[in-house]
Amino acid sequence: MNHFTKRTLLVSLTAALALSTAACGKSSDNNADGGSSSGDTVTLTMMHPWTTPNIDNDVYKARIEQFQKDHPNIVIKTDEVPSAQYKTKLRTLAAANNLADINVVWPGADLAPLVDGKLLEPINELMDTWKDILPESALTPFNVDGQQYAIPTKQTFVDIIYYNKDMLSSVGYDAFPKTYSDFIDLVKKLKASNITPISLGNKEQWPLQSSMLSAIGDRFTGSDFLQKVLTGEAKFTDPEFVSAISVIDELSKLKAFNTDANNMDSVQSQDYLIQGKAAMLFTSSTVDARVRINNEDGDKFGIALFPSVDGGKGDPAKSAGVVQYGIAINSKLDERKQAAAEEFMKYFVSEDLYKDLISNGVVVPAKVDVPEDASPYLKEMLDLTGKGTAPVFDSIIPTQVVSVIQNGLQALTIGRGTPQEVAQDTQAAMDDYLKKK
Amino acid sequence: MHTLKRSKLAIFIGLFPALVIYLGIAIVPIGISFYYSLMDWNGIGSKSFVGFDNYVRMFQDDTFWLSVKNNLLIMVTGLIGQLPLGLVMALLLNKALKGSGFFRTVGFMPVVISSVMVSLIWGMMYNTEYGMLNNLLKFVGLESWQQNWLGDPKWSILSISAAYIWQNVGLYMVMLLAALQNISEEVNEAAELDGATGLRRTWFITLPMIRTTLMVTIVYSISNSFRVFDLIQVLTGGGPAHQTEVMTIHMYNSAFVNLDYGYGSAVSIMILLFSLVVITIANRLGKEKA
Amino acid sequence: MKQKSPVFKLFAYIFLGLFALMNLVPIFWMIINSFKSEQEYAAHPFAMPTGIHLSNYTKAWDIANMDTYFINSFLITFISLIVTVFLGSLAAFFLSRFEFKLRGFTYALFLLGMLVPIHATLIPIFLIMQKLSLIDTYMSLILPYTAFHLSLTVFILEGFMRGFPKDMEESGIMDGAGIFRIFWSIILPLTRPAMATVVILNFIYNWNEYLFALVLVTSNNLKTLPLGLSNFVGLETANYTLQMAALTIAFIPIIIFYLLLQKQLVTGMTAGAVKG
Repeated sequence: MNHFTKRTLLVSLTAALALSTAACGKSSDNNADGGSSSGDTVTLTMMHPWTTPNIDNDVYKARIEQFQKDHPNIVIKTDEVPSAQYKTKLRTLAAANNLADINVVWPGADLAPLVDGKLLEPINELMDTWKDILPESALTPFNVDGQQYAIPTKQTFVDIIYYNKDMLSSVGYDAFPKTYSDFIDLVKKLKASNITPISLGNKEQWPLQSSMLSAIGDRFTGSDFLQKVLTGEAKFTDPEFVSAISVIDELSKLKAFNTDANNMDSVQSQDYLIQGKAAMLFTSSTVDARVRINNEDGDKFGIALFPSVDGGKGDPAKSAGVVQYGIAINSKLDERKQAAAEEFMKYFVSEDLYKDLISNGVVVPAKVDVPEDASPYLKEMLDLTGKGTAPVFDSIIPTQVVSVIQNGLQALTIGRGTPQEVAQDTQAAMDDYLKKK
Repeated sequence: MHTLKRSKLAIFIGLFPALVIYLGIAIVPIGISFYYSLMDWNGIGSKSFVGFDNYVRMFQDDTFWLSVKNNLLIMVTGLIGQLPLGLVMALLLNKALKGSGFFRTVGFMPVVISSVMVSLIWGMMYNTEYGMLNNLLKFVGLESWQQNWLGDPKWSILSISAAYIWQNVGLYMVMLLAALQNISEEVNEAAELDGATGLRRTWFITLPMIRTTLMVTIVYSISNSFRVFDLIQVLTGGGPAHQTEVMTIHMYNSAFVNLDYGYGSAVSIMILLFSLVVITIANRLGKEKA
Repeated sequence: MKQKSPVFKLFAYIFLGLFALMNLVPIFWMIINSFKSEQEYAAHPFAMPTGIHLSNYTKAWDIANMDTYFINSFLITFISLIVTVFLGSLAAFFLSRFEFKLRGFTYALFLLGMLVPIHATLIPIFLIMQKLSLIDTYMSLILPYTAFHLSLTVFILEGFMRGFPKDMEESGIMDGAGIFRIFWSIILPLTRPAMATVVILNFIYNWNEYLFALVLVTSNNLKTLPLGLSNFVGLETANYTLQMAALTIAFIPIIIFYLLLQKQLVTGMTAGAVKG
């Protein structure tokens, strides 16, 4: 028995050593292959977060396949990274100055450090490709100091209110309220008839900030406020913005959210709405698939935007939208790879891609025709969001400031702090950031 | 000993390969982290040397101290919860009870299950409205005991502790079981001849026999509690409003979310120092008792 | 061994039974939900499934790239495990059974590795691997797995070996056996239960390791299972039922491995003493 154990140990050790040397050799071959371009073919690496089995992810992957079929001399070696950890990997690779040749990046506050570190290549010369289909508003989020760094594939509206029609009409609202006071009245009536008014899954902290505060803030302050904060012309402590934060406070005090709001994630909050446990959910256009399109009981749910507020400077028809998935090129490519990467970009982000996406129910930033057979839900969504775009809080404000306000908002939901204090803390973080710049 | 000369060489041969890999891959990064902790760096681009500024900032940061407090709570509840439970399990399963193989396997399951599942399960457990715990309390007529287990700052860290204990008891059960197996029959028989039975025998004979392993489990439990990350990240994300943040989460948020990599590195060095101090104290206490 | 009183036995079984129940219900819940459709799970997470969606398993297998990732996980897990346990037990032997000048220091050094928060090492390890030109190879995972788990391995085995009576080796020395011979024939057989413990722990940690695998490997054909398992959850979308199917599949090898080794856990001194 003992001899047996020992012999297995010895044999397996030898095997392990042999294997690891073999493995090493094999993979370093791989590496050489991927690292340089040999012969006629160019190999490009591409890192993307499209791993979940979603419709739009399938469209992206099919497009990459198609590109390689049409370009036999270019090989795209993809690195598929689970989206929840995509940014962690991107930041580690960026720290080591080792980005993939083609990357998927987020706009504004996420893009800035990559640009500061000179890791991305400006693509100004390619811009003619998209001049007819992409509006200015889709490009500016990826534009820093006049240089364009990426082209978006997708548009997300983050402030869509999905509501349960039956529950609303049961308390006398056959349509979604148009004014803030009606909205509060609705919340109170729902509460009175023992229905949780708003489903919130704020564990990851962004829903209160992105899906709620972006729109609420816009109603109070108007759409140029966040930009002004960035340049120091406006402050989070301005009374309009404090009023916006106070809405979260008021809703918390009315107990408008489900009790488990802070330990449910956004997917669970969708399920909570679907299960009929709450009347409303503030979230993004992306989840229309789970809530309505792929749901047998999808027509139980309507969509709306946050209503107007008294004396607000913003336009209540605007939806808070952000472009997503910018395709960007590494700044350290040699000429051949650079040319291949540009070729890829022009092919990948094109009218065909946008058409594919929109016919699958995905909202895109480009001006393309909606196909006849598009889902009625998509048409309703495009109608709702087509009347002007408000900025999304965390796509403009730097991440370190965003995390301060997220924690502040979360504190309000558990009855700690005041809107004024949240505004002050957030502005203090903003001042820190501006001072460093 | 006549082998002394040769043993020096043998010691060198025996330790060298392990040390090379270990120093190169596990210890060097600590040095690099320390170097970063003296820098103002967003993780990308250029660094600037700021001396101990990051540490000064950390010591003035209430959130950091809150995370230290939470870490100590996790550590203490972990020690009190995991080790006695693990020991009782090990003592019971060391006996020739029927079905002990089954219980050994089932007892170990939480250790191998992925933290994603652990969070889904305990999320369901603690849910205020339809969670199993509140339902159970209602069932036995203790409705006044129902709580918002994860959302209420009074309970959240303790609730996390309970999940943490559940996840790790099996680990200590296995380690202690291995030690109990090495107490020879003769010792047990001798004890029986002396008339030592039951609790008395466990306390005066069994436990002293596995003293070194007990010490190992104590140190291991301490070191694990300072590195707990996944469980809390997926259960509460450190919220609500930092209330369940521990040092590792504070470190991760600073370095990878807020792009304050120098500060994050300083926190990681503190994690190392804190656990080192606690373990040294534990070791001292352990030796004094002997 | 003397028979325990029935009352004691009853209490023991109640205690163990409750404990087992608490551990089994979650597993049961995972398996039940792995057969549901996503919509059914969203609406009724606690109900029994109305139909058996076996296709969840084939889909999950594909989405998590299990064809490739399973093999990679096995290779990397086992190679790291064997190297770690071999080097670690040797180091533990010298640290526990010998007195030499730097013993205390070396031991403390090994302990240090157990205290490092893993996230802090991501960027430094990446840079080291870059220097060694090992990024995107099996080695880039095997080395850190071995290095970091050496701490734990040395620590547990050292504690265990130190518990042996001092005169354990003497018969070997009398016989004129060399030091490595003593390690191999006297000490190693006695450490079997502890050895089983560290093998199990190494296996689990390697099998489930996520962060290093996330950043150090970029080629899809070199990635490991935990990466595949997180392919189901996006920022706002998730396929929990597919994920549970995938988790169930990934759970099986660990449980089998544990079942194989738990016998070794409980054949300690008694078996060893007879032989030795």
